[in-house]
Amino acid sequence: MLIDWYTVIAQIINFLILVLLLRRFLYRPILNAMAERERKIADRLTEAEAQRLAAVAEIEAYQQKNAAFAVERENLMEEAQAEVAARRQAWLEQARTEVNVTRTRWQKAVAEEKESFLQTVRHQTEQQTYQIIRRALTDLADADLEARIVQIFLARLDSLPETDVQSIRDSLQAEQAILTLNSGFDIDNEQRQRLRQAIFRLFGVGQPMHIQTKPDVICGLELTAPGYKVAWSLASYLDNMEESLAEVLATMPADTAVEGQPHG
Amino acid sequence: MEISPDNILYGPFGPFKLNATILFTWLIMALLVGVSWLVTRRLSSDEQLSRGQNLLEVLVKALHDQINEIGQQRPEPYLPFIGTLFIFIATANLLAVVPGFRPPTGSLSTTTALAICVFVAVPLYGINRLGLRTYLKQYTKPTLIMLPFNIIGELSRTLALAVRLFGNVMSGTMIVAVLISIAPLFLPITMQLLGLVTGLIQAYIFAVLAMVYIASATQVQEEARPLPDD
Repeated sequence: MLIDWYTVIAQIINFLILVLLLRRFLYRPILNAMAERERKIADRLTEAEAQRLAAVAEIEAYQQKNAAFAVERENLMEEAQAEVAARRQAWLEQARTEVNVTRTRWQKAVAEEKESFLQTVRHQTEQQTYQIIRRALTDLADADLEARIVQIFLARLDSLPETDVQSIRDSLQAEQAILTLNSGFDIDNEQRQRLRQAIFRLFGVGQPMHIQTKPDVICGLELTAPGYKVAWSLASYLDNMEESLAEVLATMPADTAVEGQPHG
Repeated sequence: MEISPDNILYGPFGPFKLNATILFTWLIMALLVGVSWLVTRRLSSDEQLSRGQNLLEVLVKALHDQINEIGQQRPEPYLPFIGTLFIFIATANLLAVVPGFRPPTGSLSTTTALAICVFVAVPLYGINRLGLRTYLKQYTKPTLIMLPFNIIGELSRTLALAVRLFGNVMSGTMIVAVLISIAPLFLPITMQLLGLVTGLIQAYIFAVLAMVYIASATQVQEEARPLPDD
């Protein structure tokens, strides 16, 4: 008999025990280890993928930041340029204003200086002209001229309005004043007599009269009573001339100032 | 000369008798469990692993994939049974080259025992997966008339499984014995090497056939079921 049933049963039991033992010591641990490894690998792959995504996101964020930075830099640059331009403009304006102020001040100073200079020139001209004419007339004066002056003075006395004569007469009587006759030259006796007579006839008898020589009265005569004065002399003409000269010279600074204004 | 290691007795121990088949089966069991325990007590789930773990992983993975390929199902429930069949038979056959070792698979008792295990495992797996009624209905397919033939087929293929393994392993041992008497030098060694190959092939065939039977028991009914919505 090839089959020993005792052995068969024993082998069945042996085999079942072997199955259980190998399942406990071989299949289960090995399969678990392999599954664990696969899980770890899968985890690592997932992690790697996550890290890759994170890296991509970081790259993107970095690029965005870079772009934003570039834009900001551009903006700042533009702002700075605008500010520089504005400040430059402001400084230019300020400099221009300062230049204008300085120029105006300078022009004013120049104008004042010119005015002052012209004033001086004017005054000097007046004085010189006056002096020259005065000296010339003084030099020119002689007996004929003096006689002529006395004659003109007498004519003027005659042509005095009656009201004036009366007023002078009244004032002489009221105040008991003395008539004074100033002369620019020495009057000879004959002329003195004529003058005394004329004055006596005009203003009444008994009035004392004082006759004196005064160089100020150029080539002329001057009769003064309190509050009144009757005169004819070159001085009055000279005074008129001086006024005219002053007027003419006064118009000059404006013209010369316009012509002399600096361009700029 | 003894054909079966069942007849080599190492003395009775009380009511139990210890023959070569059982003894060498125990040796193989001790070897397999010992190696497995030594390797798997320090398992690594990282990239770095020991050579032993690598070897066992290759073996288990190969079995796993083979079962998956044949059964077209998740291999985990079948792996311990089918895998142990292969590993046990292959180890027994390979150790046949060791002088003095009597492979237990050379005993018709052992192969019968293994065949009976398969014979029992097939309906167990089928019932476990399909339920008792559905499994029993298979025997009446395609008609009730086929019931006896199906039962005969079930029994005969178990017998064939047992005898095939026994015959191959036993014949290998027998051929060596015969050849030693004719040409005692080189030829037996060649035959022994050939025996290693046939031993491995037999282990593979036995495991694959067992898986095919189990797969047929667990799959046939599925084809008749309405297709699940994918």
